[in-house]
This record gives sequence, structure tokens and C-alpha cells, in this order.
Amino acid sequence: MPKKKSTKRVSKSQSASVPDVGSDLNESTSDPLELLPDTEPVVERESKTLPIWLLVLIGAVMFWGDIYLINYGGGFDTRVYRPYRSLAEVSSIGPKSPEEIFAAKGKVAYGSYCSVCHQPNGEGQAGMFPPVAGSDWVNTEGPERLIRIVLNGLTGPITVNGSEYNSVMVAWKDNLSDKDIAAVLTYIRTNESWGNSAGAVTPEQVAEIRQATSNRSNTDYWTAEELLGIPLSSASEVAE
Amino acid sequence: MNKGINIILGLIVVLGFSWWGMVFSPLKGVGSQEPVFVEMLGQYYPTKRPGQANQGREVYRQLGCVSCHTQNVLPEGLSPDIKRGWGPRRSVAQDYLYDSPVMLGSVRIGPDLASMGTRIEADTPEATEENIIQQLKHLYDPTITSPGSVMPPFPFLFDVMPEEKATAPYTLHISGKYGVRPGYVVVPKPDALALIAYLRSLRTDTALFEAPISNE
Repeated sequence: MPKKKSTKRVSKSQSASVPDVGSDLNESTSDPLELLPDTEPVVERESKTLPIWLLVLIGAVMFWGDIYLINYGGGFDTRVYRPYRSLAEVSSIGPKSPEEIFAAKGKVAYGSYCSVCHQPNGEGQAGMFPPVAGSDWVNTEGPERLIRIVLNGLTGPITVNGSEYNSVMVAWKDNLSDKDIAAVLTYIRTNESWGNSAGAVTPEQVAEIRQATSNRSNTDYWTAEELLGIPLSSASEVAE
Repeated sequence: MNKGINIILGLIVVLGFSWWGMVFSPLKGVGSQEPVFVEMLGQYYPTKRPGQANQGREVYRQLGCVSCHTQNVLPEGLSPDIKRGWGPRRSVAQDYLYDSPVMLGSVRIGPDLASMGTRIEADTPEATEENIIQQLKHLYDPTITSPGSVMPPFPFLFDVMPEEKATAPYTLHISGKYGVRPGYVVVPKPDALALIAYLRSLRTDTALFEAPISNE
């Protein structure tokens, strides 16, 4: 439609400059100038070139797209997901050193095996499952009794922090490796947010006690009295 | 037609570029993923579903659960899915490795089910049976366990039979609007049990390298 408009505009300007040519024509048509040939305006040909603003817009959109890909594409690596932006960023989050992996393993193992009874916050359940947070059985010099409890389970009454608990803990010796048990006990014993400040447990310590109690079947649970008869190593011995 | 060769070359470039970007590189990346060894668990992820859960996946597919339920927990910052407790972490491609077809879904009339198995509260071994009965009741008539739910009931997944004849592992005693005659109980058909097994097998609680679980 702009074509006609421009034509009209041109012709109207002509009509302004041209004085009354042949008023007799006005009788047959309302606008005599419509009879003039519809010439192609010169302006039309110029508008066929790509306007510079469009070129700039395309460039800006492509630039923005590139920036977006760099920021959110994650280098096209399938291991990079939101909210992380690069592989380096993802790598820096996960545990790297063996110690960190050990700590993370303990946390995961606690969540999978222990938290059902001892609760995710380590508080246990009154009368049944003793707490592991701030417990006098956990915060001991040596972990000998704790390792035995995890390996072979525990049954009967036990007094923890002055309160009586009575239930059964199953044996984990067939389900958890030395490393698993050491990791979860380390997680519990060194968990400062639970008020625990005991030493770490090594897989070697667990292996040693597993060996020493290997003739004990996995349904032969410990009792609290039996465990209290087992001497605890002092801190200096553990260090050795 | 002296520009024919240019047009053909242009077509090849344009189509080849799209094929490279939309077919080849996704196949090379996501398409070639394999189960990864998760050191903290000492096992591979993901593991294949047990047989009953695999059957349940077909029931899920057949009943069209995917038209109202998604299976994709979106990341924090993009949606409140994790705050809603729909899963401990965002979903990643690794989670769907053994799913064919992947039933991602796109409409959330019901809640997301990507991590249904981890959302059952207090799912201790002792409470499992009671939890399964609750889930079965939810399938039989969702308004029993979730008043006001718009989920359709699925009574055809169940049989109604006299109590003394019921030998299925779970029997439901249902009263109220959708209740059955006294002395009769509702027992799940194998399809219902398979569907529950599938829903319980949906777990995204394994921390992965690309999607760590942020707790505390």
C-alpha cells in the first residue's frame, strides 16, 4: 500500500503546482490526476538495500546469543548443569582429596544406614535408640566399643547419658566394609555440630577388631555389660 | 539457474550444521552416558529397576500418568521444586539412563514424581507395609488420602472380594463414599502392586558429580 500512497502524495504536490488545467475534466471524474500514469517513484529502488539498523540488530542478537552460550552452555559438557557454569566450577564443589571423600562417605553412610533409628540429627529415640550426638559412649578415647557395636550389633538395656534405652541394633559386619564403618564412625565421632569431639577411626582399627571378633556370629549381639568389660585405648595409644 | 551450485552448497551447510548441533553432538554427549561409579556409596548409579518396578513403569505409561505428572525436579533458582520437597537435588540426564521412553512429562497438574521414593515420610522397614497401603488407597481413590485431589480414581486396578477370600499381600478396608460392603475388602491387582513398586523405585537421592546434594 505505501506505493500508492507515495504516488498520491507526489501527484497531489503536482496538483498544487499545476494551476487549473482543463476544468472540463473535473466533470467526468472527481480527481483528474488519477488518470495520470502511475509512475514508479525513485524512492522505491533505494529501499531495497538492507537497512543499516537491521544489520546492527542482527549483529547484536548474535552477540547476545554467543554471550548466553558462553555463560550457560557449560562448554557443551554433559556434566555441567545449572546452577554451575563450567566444568571447573563443578569440580571445585565435590570432594577431591581422599580425606574429603572419606568424610562424605561417612555422611552418606550415616544417612543410609543409621539415621532411620538414630535420626538424621543423631538424637535417637527416647527409650529405644540411644543418641549418638553428645553421647558418652561416642566421646570416648578409643573407638573399640563402638566398632564392636557396629560390627556385631547390640541388644538389651544400655545407659547413655544417664538415660536407659532398650532395643536391638542389628549387626553390620556383612553389609559394611571396614572403610564404610571407619567412615561412618569418624563422621559421628568428629561431628562438632552434634557436640562430639572424639578422634577419627581408621579402617585398620576396624579390620583389627573384625579379625579379633571373627568367631562371633552376626546374630550374636553384644550386651552393654560385655562391652563395658572391653578396655578402651587411651589417646596416646591411638596416636601410635 | 547459474546459482544452482551455490543453492545446493548452502542447503548442505545449513542442514549439516543443524544435524551436527541437534543430532550428532547430543548423541555424542548425553547419548553415550554410562552408569558412573559413586565412590561414596561403593556402587554404580543408576542401577536397573527391579522387575516388578519395570512392569510398573509400563502401567504408569499405559495409564497416562505422564499427562499430569512430570518426572523432572528443576534446579534451585529456576523453580521452587527442591523447597517443595519434591527431591533432594535437581534431575540430570544420568537419572533416566535406564528409562525408555523417558516419561518426563510437561504438565504439572499433580506433583512431580522424579523422586517419589524418597518422599514417603518415615519409610522405615517397619512402616513400609503401612505406607504401601496408604499409597494403594491413594490409587483406589485419591480423596481418601488427599482430600480435594483432582486425580482420577483407579478402582479398576483393584478387586473387591470377601475378606476371608483375600490372599493378596495387602488388603484395604475402605469406608465412606467409595466404601465397599461390610465384610468385603479391596485387594490390589498385580498392576497396582507393580505401579507402587515403580513409584517407590523413583529415587534421585544419590549425590552425583554434576548434581551434588546440598544439605544444611
